[in-house]
Amino acid sequence: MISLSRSDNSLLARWWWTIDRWNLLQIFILASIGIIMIWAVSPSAVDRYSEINDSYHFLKKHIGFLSIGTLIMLFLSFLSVKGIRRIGLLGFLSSLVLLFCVMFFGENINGSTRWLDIGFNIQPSEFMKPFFVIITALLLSQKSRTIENFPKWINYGHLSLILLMVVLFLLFRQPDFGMAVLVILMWFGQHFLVGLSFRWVLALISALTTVMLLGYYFVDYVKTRIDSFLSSGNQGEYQLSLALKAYENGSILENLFGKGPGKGTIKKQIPDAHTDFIFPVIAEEFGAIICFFIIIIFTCIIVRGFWRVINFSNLFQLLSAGGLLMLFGIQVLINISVTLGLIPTTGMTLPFISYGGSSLISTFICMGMMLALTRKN
Amino acid sequence: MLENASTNYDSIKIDGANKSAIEVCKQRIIAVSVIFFVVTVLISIKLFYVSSSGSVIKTEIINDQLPIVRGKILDRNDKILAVSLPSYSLHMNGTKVRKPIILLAKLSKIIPTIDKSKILKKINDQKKFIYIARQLTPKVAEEVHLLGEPSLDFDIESLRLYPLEKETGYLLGYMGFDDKPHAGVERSFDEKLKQGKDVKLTLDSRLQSIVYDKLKDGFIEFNAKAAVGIIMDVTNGEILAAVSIPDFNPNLRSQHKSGNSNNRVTMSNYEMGSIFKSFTIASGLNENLINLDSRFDASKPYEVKGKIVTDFHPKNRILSLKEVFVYSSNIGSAMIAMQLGMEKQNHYLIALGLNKTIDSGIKEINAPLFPEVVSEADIVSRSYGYHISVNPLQVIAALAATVNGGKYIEPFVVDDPIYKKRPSVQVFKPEVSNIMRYLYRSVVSDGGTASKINIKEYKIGGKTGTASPVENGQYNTEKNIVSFISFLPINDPKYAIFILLDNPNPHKKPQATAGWTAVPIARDIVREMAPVVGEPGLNFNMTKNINKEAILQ
Repeated sequence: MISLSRSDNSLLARWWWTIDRWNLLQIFILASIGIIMIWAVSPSAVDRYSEINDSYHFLKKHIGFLSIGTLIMLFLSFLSVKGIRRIGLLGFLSSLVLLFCVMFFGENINGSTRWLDIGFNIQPSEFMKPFFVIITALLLSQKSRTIENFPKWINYGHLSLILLMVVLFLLFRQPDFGMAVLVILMWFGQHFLVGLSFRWVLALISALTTVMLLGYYFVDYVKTRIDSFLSSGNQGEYQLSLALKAYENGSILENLFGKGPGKGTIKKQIPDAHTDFIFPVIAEEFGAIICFFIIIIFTCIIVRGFWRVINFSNLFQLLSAGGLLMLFGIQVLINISVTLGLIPTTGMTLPFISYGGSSLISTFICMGMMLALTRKN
Repeated sequence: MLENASTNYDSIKIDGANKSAIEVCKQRIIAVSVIFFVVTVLISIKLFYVSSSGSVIKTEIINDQLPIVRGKILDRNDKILAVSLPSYSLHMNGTKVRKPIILLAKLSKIIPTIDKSKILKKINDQKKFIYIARQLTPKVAEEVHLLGEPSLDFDIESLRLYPLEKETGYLLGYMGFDDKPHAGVERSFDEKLKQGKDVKLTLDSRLQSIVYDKLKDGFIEFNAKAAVGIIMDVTNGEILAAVSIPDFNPNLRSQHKSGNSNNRVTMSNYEMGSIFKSFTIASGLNENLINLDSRFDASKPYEVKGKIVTDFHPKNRILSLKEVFVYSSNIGSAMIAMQLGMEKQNHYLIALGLNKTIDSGIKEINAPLFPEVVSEADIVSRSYGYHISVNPLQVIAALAATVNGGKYIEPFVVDDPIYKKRPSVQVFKPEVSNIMRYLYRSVVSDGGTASKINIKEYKIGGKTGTASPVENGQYNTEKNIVSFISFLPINDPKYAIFILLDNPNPHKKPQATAGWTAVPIARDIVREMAPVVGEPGLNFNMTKNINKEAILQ
C-alpha cells in the first residue's frame, strides 16, 4: 500500500487515496475485538446446542462471515455513487423477493418466521436494511418530482411511503417488531435530514407509539417483553439481571480489566451471550473499560462519517451516507441500551462484534456503501 | 433511470430548491450528530454507573435473601450443638433438558450421589419437576449454578446440623422436612430460635459425650433393652448430661421417626426399687424417728397386714441403720415407713416432686404414676420403690435433695432465667444430708451393692436399685429395671450421676443386678469425667464432713 503514490492513477491507488482510511482501520479494530469476544464466548454457547460438538464452532463460522463480509465491504467501497445507486436498487429488489419467499417458505424459529433455509439460514430482512436506506435516499432526493406514466399527484416521496408500507407489512408478517421499529426510525430519520418539519417529527413519535401499542395488544411476545420491562423496572428480566451482574463483575473500580479472557461466568447463563448480549460479557471478561473503548470507536466511526458527509453537495450522497451512519449508530445504541436495561429487549445485534451471519454481512454492506459514499471526489 | 432524473428534467428550476435542501440536510446531519453524541454520552454514564460496584442494586442470581436463620443451640461452654446453614434443593425441568447425558455427567461430577439412570428415565418421560438433590451446601449449589443449565433450578432450604449427632439426639430434637421442630429443645424453644436467637443449655457437651460413650458400651455389653444416663449439678439443678439409648441421629432424616417418643430420660415411668430407700431413710431422719443408732430386726420376714416383706440379701439378724441401707434391707425400710405413716410419706414424696410433671425445658415428658395409698401394704411397697412410677429426670432431682443440704431443686436443661430463678424447697434439714452422705459412702466402701465403684482416686457414694417391671399387670421377676445413683465427691457433692438399665440381660456376668451392670458404667463415667470437670479427687478428706461421732455427738 505504501508504494501507492498520489499520482498513481490505478483503480487501487485512487481507492486508497480517496477512501476514509481512519474509518476503515476502526472497522478492522472492531472486527478484531469481535473475533476475540466470540473466541471467549463460543465454547459456552456451543453447550446450548445439542447438535454442535465443536467448541469453536461459532468462532470458526464468525471468522468465515467476517472474511466474506470484509470482501463484500471492500468491493462495495470501490463503487462510485452511481454504482451505489444501482447496487442499492438491485439489493433492495432482491431482498424484497427474499422477504416474500420468507412469507411462504420461511423457517419458523422461536415463534417467528424470519429465516430462509438455502443450505444455511439467512435473514433477508437484515440485508434489506442498508438497501432500503439507499432506496429511501434515492427517492427522497427526488422527493417532490412526479413519476412518469403515473398520476400527477403521486411523487417520489409517496413512492417511498408505499415502499415503507410494503416493508413494514412483510416485517409484521414475520413478525419482527424490533426491525420494524428500526426501519421506521430510519425512514423518518432520513425524512428529518431532508427537512421534515416538526409536525412530522410529532407524527413520527405518535406513529411509533401506535406501532408499540398495536404490538403490545396484538402480539404476545411484544406484550411479554414490555410487561417484564415495565413491571419490575430494569431488573425484571432474568437475562437483564445477569447482564447487570456481568457489568458489575467488570467494574472499573474493582476489576479494571475484568475477570480475564474466558473466565467470565455470566456468559454461561445468558442465553444470547454470543449475539445480543455480548456487550456485558465483554465487560465481565475484559473490563467495562474495554466497553468504553468500543463505544468510543463506534462514536468515532459515526461522527467521522458525518463529518466527511457534510462536505458533499449531492443530496443523494448526503441522505444515503447519513442514513447508513444513522442505521449503524441506532443499532449500536439500541443494543447497548437493551443490555443496560434502558429499553425493552429487541433482539438487535452489536455491529461487528455479535455473532450472526446475516447481521454481520449486513453491517459490512452498510459500511462498504458508507465508505464508497464518503470517498473524496 | 432514476439517476438521470436530476440532470435531465427541469434542472435549472429545481437547482435553487435543491441547494437549500442540501443546506438543510447538512444542518440536520449536524443536529443528528449532536443528538447521537448526547445519547452516547448518556448511555456511557449509565454504563459507568452500572459497572461501578455497589452503585447498582445487587442482583443476586441465587437469591440469598434467606429468611431469618434459625438460632443456634449452644452448650454451657458455647459449643455448638445445633446450627442452621443455608442449603439448596436442586430440581430439573425434564422438558428443557437438551443434552441429558452430558448434563448428568457434569452434575454427577459435582454431586456424586445422584442416581443418573433414575433421573435419565424421568427426563425421557419429560417430567417437568425432577428432584435432583436436597440440602446442597452453598458452594455446591454455586458450582451447579455455574453450569448455566436452563433446566435446573434451586429452592432455598435450611439445613439443620447437629454436630454431636446421636449423643444429643433426643435432648435437642430435630427439624422435620416441613422445617417445623419436632421434640426436644428445638420444639420447646421454637419461638426464640425462630427469631434467630441462640438458646444456651446447661448441658456440658464433654460430659454428654462421656456419658453417651460409656452408656452405649454398657448397653451393648449387658444386652439391655434401653439405658438412661444423667448427670446433674446437685447444687443448682442444672442438667449437665442426659442420654437415652436406643438413640437416633437427628442429622439423618430416615431416623427421625424414632426420635419422637423414645426419650427415656423424661418419657418413661419406672418403679425404681431400692433407690427409694434413700427417701424413706432421709424422711425418717428428718422426722427424728430414726438415727444411726437405730436397730431393725431383720432376723425374720416382716409382716404387715398380710403382706410379707423379705430381703433380697437376707442377713437374718438385727441390722443397724447403716446396714439397712448398705444391704438394702426391705424389712428395715418397711419398718421405717410404718413409723413414718402414710401422711408423712406422702408429704415427703410430694415435696421431692415425685408426683408432678416437672418442667425442665423438655416438653416430651410422662407424668409419674402416683397411685393413692389405700393400705399399709402400699406404704411398705413405696418405701422401697414400688407402687410409684417416675421418670429418671425427676428421680435424680429428688435424690439430689438427700445430699445437697436438703433442698429440692427442679432440674432443667436450658440456661434461662425462667428455670434458674425458680425457688428451691427445703425438704430436709441440712444435717440429714450429712448422715445420708455417710450412708451413701458406706454402700460403696463397706462391701455394699455398689462396691465396684470403690476406686481409690475418687470418693464416691451411691445407692443401687433393682426392680422387676410390671408386665400385663404382674411383676415379671425374670426381668429387671436396674438403677444406680452416685454422688461425686461424696463429702461435698457437686455431681449426681444416675444410670438406669432397662432389662439388662448379660451374657457373662452372673447377675443382672445394678451392682454388676449400672455401677461399672457409673465408675467408667466418673473416671473420665472427673479430670474434665477438674474434680480434685485425691485431696478428699473423709473425716471432714462425714464424721459419725460428730453427727451423733
